[in-house]
Amino acid sequence: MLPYIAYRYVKNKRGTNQKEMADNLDSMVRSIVPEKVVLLVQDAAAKLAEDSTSYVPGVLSITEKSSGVFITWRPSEDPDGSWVMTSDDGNTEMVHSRSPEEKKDQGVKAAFSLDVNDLSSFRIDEPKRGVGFPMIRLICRDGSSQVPLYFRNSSTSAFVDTLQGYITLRRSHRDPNLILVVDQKSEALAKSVSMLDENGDILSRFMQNPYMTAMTGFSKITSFVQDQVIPSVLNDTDAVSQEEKIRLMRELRLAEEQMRVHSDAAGEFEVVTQLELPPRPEIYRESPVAQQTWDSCKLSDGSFDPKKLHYLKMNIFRGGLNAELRKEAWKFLLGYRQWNENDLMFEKRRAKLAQEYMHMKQQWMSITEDQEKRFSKFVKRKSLVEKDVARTDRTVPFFQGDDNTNLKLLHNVLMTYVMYNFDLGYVQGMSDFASPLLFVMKDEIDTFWCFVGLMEATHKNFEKDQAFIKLQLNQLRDLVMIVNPKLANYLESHQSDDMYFCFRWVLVWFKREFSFLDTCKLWEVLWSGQPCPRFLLLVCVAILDSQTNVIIDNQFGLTEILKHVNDLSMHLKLDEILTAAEAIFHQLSASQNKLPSHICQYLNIGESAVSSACSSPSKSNN
Amino acid sequence: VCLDDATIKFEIWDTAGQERYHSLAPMYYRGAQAAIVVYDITNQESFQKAKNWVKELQRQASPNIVMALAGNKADVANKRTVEYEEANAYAEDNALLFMETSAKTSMNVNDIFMAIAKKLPIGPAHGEPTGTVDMNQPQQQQKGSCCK
Repeated sequence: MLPYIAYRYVKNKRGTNQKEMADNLDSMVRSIVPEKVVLLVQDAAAKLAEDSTSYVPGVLSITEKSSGVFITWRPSEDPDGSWVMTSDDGNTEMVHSRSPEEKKDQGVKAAFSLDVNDLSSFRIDEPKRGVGFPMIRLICRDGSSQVPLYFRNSSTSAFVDTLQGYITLRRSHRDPNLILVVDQKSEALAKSVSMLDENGDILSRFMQNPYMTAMTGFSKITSFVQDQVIPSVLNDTDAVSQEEKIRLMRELRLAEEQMRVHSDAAGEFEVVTQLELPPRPEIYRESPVAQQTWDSCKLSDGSFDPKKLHYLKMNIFRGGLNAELRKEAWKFLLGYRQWNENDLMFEKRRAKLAQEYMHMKQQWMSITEDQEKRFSKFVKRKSLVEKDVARTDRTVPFFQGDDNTNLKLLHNVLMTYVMYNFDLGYVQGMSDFASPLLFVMKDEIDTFWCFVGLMEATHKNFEKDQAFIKLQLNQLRDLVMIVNPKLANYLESHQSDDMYFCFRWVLVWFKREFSFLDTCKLWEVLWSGQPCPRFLLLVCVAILDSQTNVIIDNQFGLTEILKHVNDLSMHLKLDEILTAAEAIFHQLSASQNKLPSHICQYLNIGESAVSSACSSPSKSNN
Repeated sequence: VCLDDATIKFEIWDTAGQERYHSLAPMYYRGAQAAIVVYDITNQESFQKAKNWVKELQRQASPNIVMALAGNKADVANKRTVEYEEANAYAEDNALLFMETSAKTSMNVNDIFMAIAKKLPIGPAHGEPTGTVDMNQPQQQQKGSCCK
């Protein structure tokens, strides 16, 4: 404990305004006092991405230094350059799959060292039914999450016990797997909250019974009370007399009731006092659609039996597609080939489309340098494409290495799209949509026409005013309000209810959040058009819902929420999210009679379903 | 970076460069302690846009934000259209750190981060993590990814 005591001593000294002396002492202590490692976990392996089975072995330590107590993880130096591969059943094998260079690079990137005072909370997952390893993921006050660490040969208790020597820990009431670092100040606040609560139920009513309104107007006032009035009451708990508090709360309640009456009378807001959704049904994912199932829905001429189409799409929704089936199936899902088109018809049309493609490709390829001097709009688009192609999915083997021919193909597809739709041109993010298509099609022309089909469904995301993204984010907020009002209220009172932190999710359909192969699976699930349009938004809701306790218990603000959401990338479990999203759909669908009409419209359920089904925008799905 | 005996951790955020994603930028710079506005010394228009960013940050970002101006592509100074003196004078008028940099040769790249680190208010006893937003101009070579 010597270095830590020295640190505490210096820190206390500082507090007494003897800064100069403390500084001198500080540097003296730093030079004299050695670091002391108080805990060493030799076999803490980091999982860099959720879908991969590879772990980077490393060492987790807690070290007392003169500048504080630090939790550190470093990849271990293993001279044979091997990676530990673990399958889900817990069997391990050593493979030499990565170059030492690459391994070192990835491991070093994930390494961290953080002051225990910067720790906000951590998640502990014990192995399910004894399979796998216990996992700890540290979350900092700035909202950042460290890489998940798996304890391969030891339990997590030594780590937790050691930590408790320095900071106070408390299990979250809401989520037993979430351990919170208790800030003494905020703990005192919590106490006064419960004190207040005994005096009147106003606070709990504000917290637990938020009003879901079609417009945000009414709830803005509620959040003002939450935001401004209550903290000001709490902060001065000692100063404000008991009587004063009671008076204040009476006033608040009165004002609240008046507002309710007022807004009801005005009829401007759709006030739904409380909507109890039925419990979430248990949903299972199915295995991917195999060739046999796919073929069984076809007629002899290669077109699809219209009677079996819904069944097929439901199967794709529930399990995705076998990887080898994608090349054929995506053409249908993206509307490049029609479901009722037989082989002959499609081949004929495909040949024609190939010609059309070559024609458009010739157009941009034949523009000379001299022409470019007077064609600035074209040049701008061209340079954007070049920059983005150079940095799209370069870690995926398919696009790795300089002079990779696939990069050239991706470039050609995007440049030809510029000629196909010059009004829209090229917008950043499009390369994210095109690259998995090329990876699956392995053919420039097929990729292009699939991309055209995909853009049919997503081009509005790229329009200049971004209105469509904003619309979707608003719809997402409305959905969160219904599904998880507690979170919706929290976001609103932390200036995050514009949901901008989900912008990237919606813009490129989670391309940046999942691994390449998971993205393929998610996209075909979404392209199935089942069970409702905008299922993408329910996927967003499911992820946010799963992060509710982390966000609220860590008391994240706007910046921390953004950071936390960005750090979820590559650590999301796709199947869990899809089952949750589907379960939420069933919850909503079962209460459609009670849902506000705009929610029914988004999901095409309830009374509005019939009429809007005809004008469904998902042309490519039909 | 290490500064004397404090370690300063940079948390670098890069927003999408294209104009239509401008509305995302405030979300990133609102909590930032430092910002680097980058323009291309071979492109006068990018310098004008950099000035707009500086104005926006002065208006909307935290009042204590440390701002740096970087004239990038110093490796192709023979194609320069923005003079060093011009940018330097502008930086002085607006109390910005200023350096000409090259992402290609990494000239001054470490230096500008060091200069920022020196200007940051030192947090409590331990090194506080620091947020910066790197708002590359669309005309300029970006190292980051577009939607990050």
